[in-house]
Amino acid sequence: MNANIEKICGESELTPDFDAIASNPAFVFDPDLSYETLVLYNSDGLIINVNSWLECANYVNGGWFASINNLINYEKRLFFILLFFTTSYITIEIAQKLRGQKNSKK
Amino acid sequence: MLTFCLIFPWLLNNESAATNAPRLNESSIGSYESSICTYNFLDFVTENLNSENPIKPDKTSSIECYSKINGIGYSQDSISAYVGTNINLDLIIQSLFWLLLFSLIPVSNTYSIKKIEISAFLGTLLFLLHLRSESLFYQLNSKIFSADLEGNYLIYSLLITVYFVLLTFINLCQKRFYNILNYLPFVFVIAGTYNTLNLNFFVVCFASLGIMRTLTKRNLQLALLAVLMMNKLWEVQTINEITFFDVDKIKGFSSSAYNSDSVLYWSLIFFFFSAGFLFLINKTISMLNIDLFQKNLLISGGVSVILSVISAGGALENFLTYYYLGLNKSPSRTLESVSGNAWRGMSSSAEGVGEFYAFVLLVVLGMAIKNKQFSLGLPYILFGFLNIYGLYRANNFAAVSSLFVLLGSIYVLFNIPSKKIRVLLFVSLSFLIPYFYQAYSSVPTTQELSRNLIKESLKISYLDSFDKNQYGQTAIEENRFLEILQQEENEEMISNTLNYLIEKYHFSERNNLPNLTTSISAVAYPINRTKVWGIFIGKYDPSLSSLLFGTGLNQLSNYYFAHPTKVNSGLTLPHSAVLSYLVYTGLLGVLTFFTFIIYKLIRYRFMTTYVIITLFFLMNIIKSDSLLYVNNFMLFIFAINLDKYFEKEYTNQSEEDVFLQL
Repeated sequence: MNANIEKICGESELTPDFDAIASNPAFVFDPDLSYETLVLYNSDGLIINVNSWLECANYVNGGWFASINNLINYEKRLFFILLFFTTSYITIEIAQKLRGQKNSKK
Repeated sequence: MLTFCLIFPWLLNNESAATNAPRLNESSIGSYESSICTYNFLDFVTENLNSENPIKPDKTSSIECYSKINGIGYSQDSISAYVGTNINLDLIIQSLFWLLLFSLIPVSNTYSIKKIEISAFLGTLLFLLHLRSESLFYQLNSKIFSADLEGNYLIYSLLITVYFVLLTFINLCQKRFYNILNYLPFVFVIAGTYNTLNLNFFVVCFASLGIMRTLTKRNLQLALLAVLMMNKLWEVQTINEITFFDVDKIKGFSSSAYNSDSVLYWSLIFFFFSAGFLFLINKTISMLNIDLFQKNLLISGGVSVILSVISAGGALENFLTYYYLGLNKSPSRTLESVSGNAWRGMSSSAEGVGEFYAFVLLVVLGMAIKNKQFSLGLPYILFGFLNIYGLYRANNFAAVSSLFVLLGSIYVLFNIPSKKIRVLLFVSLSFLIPYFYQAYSSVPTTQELSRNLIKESLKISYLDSFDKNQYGQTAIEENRFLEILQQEENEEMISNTLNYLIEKYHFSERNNLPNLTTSISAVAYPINRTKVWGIFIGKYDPSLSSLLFGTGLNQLSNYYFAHPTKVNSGLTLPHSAVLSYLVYTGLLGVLTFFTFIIYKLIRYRFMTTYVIITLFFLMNIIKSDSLLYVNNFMLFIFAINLDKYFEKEYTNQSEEDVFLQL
């Protein structure tokens, strides 16, 4: 079983048959009142609430995840961090050069 | 900061919710395999202290899986853990670590470098050309790599990092300019090759200096024009593109693809790197502190041996040494010697590092012989012994023998005043050594020597359809080489070089002079190069154009794949820098280089020390691939330019005094 299922959905004694669920278009997940509703995301940014362990396990098995972090484009974020540092570095360099020029004129 | 660099990367992605890693063994493999990108590297290391399971980098990892255990490799002998490394983070972390180490070079007088920003910008553009020209290499090192620029934040991040690194390097360089050469030996400790890029830190950084210099110097602009013209000749040959060549241990200084863009990139980067490094040498070699340089040689050789031993001691040490020193490949995992009884330690080549240890000893002992005293303190003597141990384990016969011959020459030149006796000694030794070698070793007959080389070449050619005689021998075993050539079906299978050498062997005049095949064999045999040069001859199948002009700087793939042989997998190098550069630059390049070196040797023949150092390298590059490695290449360029250091000294002092300083 996918290790993420236990991590995201919690422990359960059930042994789900995902193939049977997938092959039955009329399958309905019965809500479990004792199960705290969880929010899951997929790579397209879609969001779903799951109301039972089995429903959660089924979606996690299909690649859904629990953290919004998984939706973040890390490369994009890294790029802007690097851009900030490089721009700051260049600005400081230019400021130092200008200050040096001023001092030498004096 | 250095400690931060060593620890912080492995704390990334260390969420508190992460599950504790179990100890890696056969029973926990399942847990690791089903929990990819879950266990943190630090947790893993804590749980697996003293474990012998190798730790290897998972080079294709995403940023979020950096420093997590991303896979398990299971074989009968061992279980390997794959730690996530990422192309973007590697470039940042490794560059930062090396820049910090570079900043430890003591500050000297400042040299004002012009056009810093534009040089860094052009260096970055060159890097972009590199990324686009070697797409497949990068796709194998990053799952999301694409050469398409639109919305490609991976490439944008890489470009901005390179720009920042180049700016910082040039700025650090300005303040340490006159001191950098004194610390050159440390390139044998920090190799500077990136984990997930086919780039070397020193090549890229010195290339930016070369760009700056080319922007300001007319003669360099003309030289660049010449390189671009040569590049046109090389580009013509790239009709059969090769998308991927496994650069393995020559990563960072060899192209992984063969197309017009990669030929252009490597021509330019080689030119700018050489121009940048030569610029540094020309400007600062006169201020070289030879005592400090000598000490740094001893320290870097000794540290290299110590780190080699440490990296063989455990999986974690092995992985961290590989990552932080920028090694081309993982260090040896044991202290045991492998093929040829050589131990490479953390270096990618036992030959290359052996040559370095021998150079260290040549400089240090040469000085001691001349001075008749050893003025260095106890720590340096210990480092000297470590260098001797390194040389012994590298098992580089050529380096050891050239070291002894040249140390003997130094002794004779500076201790025997009579010129007649010196000449007599050299002449008699030149005859006696080959005589004793011939008399007391099992050298085959001249005929057998030539046949050995040809047989080795034929062995790797696709020639398996021979009839056997009544004793089960093929035409090769019966030495019927000409017959093999004459068979039409073999025409395509035999390289031009082998064809030529077989014809030379059969049709040369019988005038008691050795033919070309015999001459090459006679050189190859005593230096144990019959097999590897045989492979080279079997593989090297140049057209007239590539024979004359080569296939491009740092381009081995065409030589490697264009002619199919039985040795087309794995990396089998020519085992001679001369042959490698014959592939790169053709006869024109090799002959130009040797003409230049001979000219220098004749012009500066009175500079005994310079002549000895140059001869040491010439003797070694004939039989080793060392010039394919960045650190050996830099040392070689430095050594052949030492005339500029001695020239200055000669204006004031006699030869003896100069040697006293070295």
